[in-house]
Amino acid sequence: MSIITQAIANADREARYLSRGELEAISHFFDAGQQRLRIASVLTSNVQLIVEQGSQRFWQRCPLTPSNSDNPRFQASCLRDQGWFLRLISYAVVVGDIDPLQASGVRGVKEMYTSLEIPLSNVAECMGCLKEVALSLLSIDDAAEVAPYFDYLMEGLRR
Amino acid sequence: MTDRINGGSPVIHPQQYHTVPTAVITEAMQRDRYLSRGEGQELLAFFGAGMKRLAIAQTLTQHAERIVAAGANRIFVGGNSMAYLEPPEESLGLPGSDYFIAEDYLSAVTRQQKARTQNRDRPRLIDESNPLLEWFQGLIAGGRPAAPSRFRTIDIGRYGPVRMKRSLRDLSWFLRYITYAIVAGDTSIISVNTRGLRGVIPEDVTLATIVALREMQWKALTYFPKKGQAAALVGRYFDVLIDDYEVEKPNPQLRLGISKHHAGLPLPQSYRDSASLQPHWVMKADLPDIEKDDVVRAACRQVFERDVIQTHGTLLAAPVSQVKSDLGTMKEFIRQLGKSRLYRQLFYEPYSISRSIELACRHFLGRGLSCLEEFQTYFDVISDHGLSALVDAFIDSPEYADYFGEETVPYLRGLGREAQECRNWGPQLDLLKYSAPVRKVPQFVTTFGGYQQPLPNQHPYGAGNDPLEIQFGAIFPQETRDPQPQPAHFSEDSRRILISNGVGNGLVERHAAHLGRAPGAMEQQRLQWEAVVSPNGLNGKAGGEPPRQTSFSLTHHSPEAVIQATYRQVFGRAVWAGQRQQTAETQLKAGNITLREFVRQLAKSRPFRQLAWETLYITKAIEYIHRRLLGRPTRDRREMARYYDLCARQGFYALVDELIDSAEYLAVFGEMIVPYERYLTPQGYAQRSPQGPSGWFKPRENPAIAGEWMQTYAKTAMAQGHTANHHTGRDHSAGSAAASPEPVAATTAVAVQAPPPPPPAAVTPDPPTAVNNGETAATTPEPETATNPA
Repeated sequence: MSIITQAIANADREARYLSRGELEAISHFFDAGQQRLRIASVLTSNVQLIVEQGSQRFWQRCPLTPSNSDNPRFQASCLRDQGWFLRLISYAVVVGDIDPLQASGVRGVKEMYTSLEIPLSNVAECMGCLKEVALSLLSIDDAAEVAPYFDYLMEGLRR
Repeated sequence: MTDRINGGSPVIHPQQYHTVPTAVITEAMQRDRYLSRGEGQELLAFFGAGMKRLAIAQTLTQHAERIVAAGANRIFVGGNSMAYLEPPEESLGLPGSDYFIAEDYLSAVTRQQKARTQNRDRPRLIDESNPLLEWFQGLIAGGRPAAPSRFRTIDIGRYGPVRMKRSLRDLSWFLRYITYAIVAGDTSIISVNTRGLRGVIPEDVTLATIVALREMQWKALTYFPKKGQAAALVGRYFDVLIDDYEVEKPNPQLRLGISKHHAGLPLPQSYRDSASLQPHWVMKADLPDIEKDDVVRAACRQVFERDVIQTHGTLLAAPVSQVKSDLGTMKEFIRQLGKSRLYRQLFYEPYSISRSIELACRHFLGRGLSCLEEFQTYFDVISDHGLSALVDAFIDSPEYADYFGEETVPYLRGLGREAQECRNWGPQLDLLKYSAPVRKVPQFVTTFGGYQQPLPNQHPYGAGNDPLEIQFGAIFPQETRDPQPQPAHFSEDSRRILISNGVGNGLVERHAAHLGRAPGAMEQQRLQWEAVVSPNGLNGKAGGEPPRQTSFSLTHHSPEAVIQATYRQVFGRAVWAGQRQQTAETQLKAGNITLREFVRQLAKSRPFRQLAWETLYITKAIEYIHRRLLGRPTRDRREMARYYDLCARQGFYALVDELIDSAEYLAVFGEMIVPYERYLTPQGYAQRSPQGPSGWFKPRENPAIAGEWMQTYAKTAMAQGHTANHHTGRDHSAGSAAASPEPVAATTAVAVQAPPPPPPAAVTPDPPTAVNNGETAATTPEPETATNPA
């Protein structure tokens, strides 16, 4: 749940109006809206770059992984999935919420990779590489905003 | 962050309303694309205008009471209506006062970061209002809405205090939702909550409510500058509210049954509304080309579960161009997709037939299989005529025509679209997930088949709900890793398999000797309290001093030992000194109460209540107490239901009394015997056996349980290379002497030489009423039931 839905749900449960504290929190959220959109657009326009560099870095670190095994199909699907993860993260950044990551990002994907017998730790490692590349494109403030989402994804995949 | 599994099925929280960001994201997610420029602009506008909307919401909040009062005073006469408004309290410490209790990880992190980086004062959202000025503004504002001529005011005295309270609560409730919606920037929250309310509120006040709402709208508008943006916004939200309120109460959404035996299930309209953001794709002749492309892509996503146009476009070129040039309907297009080589490659060849049927059902009907009969029908079709006939069968079914007709692209009919069936709940949720195609194992047919299986090895209340084969507070240990989304197949009459612990069990000795014994279990003996013969009948002088005569006897247990054993049995451990029930002990030693009474007092003591009742959920509490006091797990759903009922009506103490006064307790333990553990579940048995379940299949672990199977094993496996095994076995037993105390050689000797032990070991416990039924224990189920834990 994003901050807004969370606040509304809380207030509704207690049958009261939104309190000052909640309104403050929401106004923080609005203030940071521009920043989040900027981040999302940076991610969106640099997908190619991030995925390319990220996967290079990933294959350096984890040479023994299905996508690095000269099978063009595995390779392509690995790259596709990375772009997909980035897209999820850009959604999450815009909403300011881990919900988009949670449902399809962590749970579904975990199931999928497990049944495809791709080691989850490698996937998490790959996310780490993506994170590094993506963060290097952003300013420090922006990087601090995005980092938790990557961390959440990695943590979820490792668990 | 975690999957919460309860009773084997995932917990679902439907999102009932949207904020602008979530709405935008859902849309983009649906189409698998990044946010477009237009959507970015929309969000930017949302964030930019955010402060203004917050200010509006806060103004409304601040004047909430006056606004509600205006509405109420308009329709009620003959008293002070506001006296009936019970204001919600906003005390410190509640979530939202200044901090969030239920704040999640992410927002906490961002908030803390924010606080660290920009620790500056924020501008106040609004300035203080001036009541006098307001009154003046109200005076000159004018434009009060006129009530329709049919409207009659309501007399407070005649209306009654209860209804007064209710209607004032409702009025403030409407206003509250308006503030929420303004903050969220989306009217869906109003629609979801108030659409069709008119049908709920009594007919005679419907008109009055609308009048009151109009009055509230007018009153609210006086707090904003005339003809400003803010006023327009508030006015619009009130309009939406009133419009939605006036709508007739919509009928619940019916799920069409697949036959007359599976009639429709209703789903409240509000759920359906919440899902309405995901569009249905409809192919129409007059659509522009770009949108036709979108629809075609949606059809491919539905049938192939991904966008195949980019990669396999040439394969599908012919049908795509046909459907786009209106030569064929969408239904025919779907049929062609289903019969294409690509579909066969993706969803037929890699799977077993059962799974293909399940997947095809998702692709063409948007749901999972409903029952075993349906599965069998389609299985016949596909085995007689192949995949293309199956596709035809789905697409020509009346259900397809009802739901999708000629033009609509099939869509997933999951939660939110329709009421879901209980019978295939877990598999259906799995099937509609993104990850469905990677699951190769058929799920529906196994689930349906499971309903006809004999005695499952699980708790009567669900696969994931077996409370006590659980260590260290982990509630659902194995189920979180590989959750089994099947409901329990327990009916009212089926019973759990319970394995006898081998010690007495309230049966006569010769039967007990034949029963299997759990190897890890303690060598329990029956402890009996020897009644103290008191010469003068008073016996009150010695508080903790044991009576002399009995404590010297070697054949009897000292009172202290019996008391300790009772504590161990009831609490599961030796208690701390402070937790001992001194009064009860004294009474017992003095002979004033029997051991049964002593157990009862222990069970009703404060520490036990804390241990076994207050901190546990009800199923676990019952299970725990039952095992402690009666010495066996609960047996079936009937029994559980009785205890649930008892707990709900009368609570903990009644449960304890019920157990201790039961005929079973009296028959087995009587007045003087310390309760002991009589039965285990197979799972508990497996956990206690030294090497886990795999240990069951080794003859030396438990000759009695391995039964006939072991004899064959002894003949074949032991003949070859048993000596090597022998040595390693010895090493092992030296390493973990505590786990398997018996020397290996001794047990193997038993295995080889001893006459075949009777197969036994799994018995269902005696019904509490039948006191002596050795026959039941002797007639035991098949050996494989006992030896196969899975």
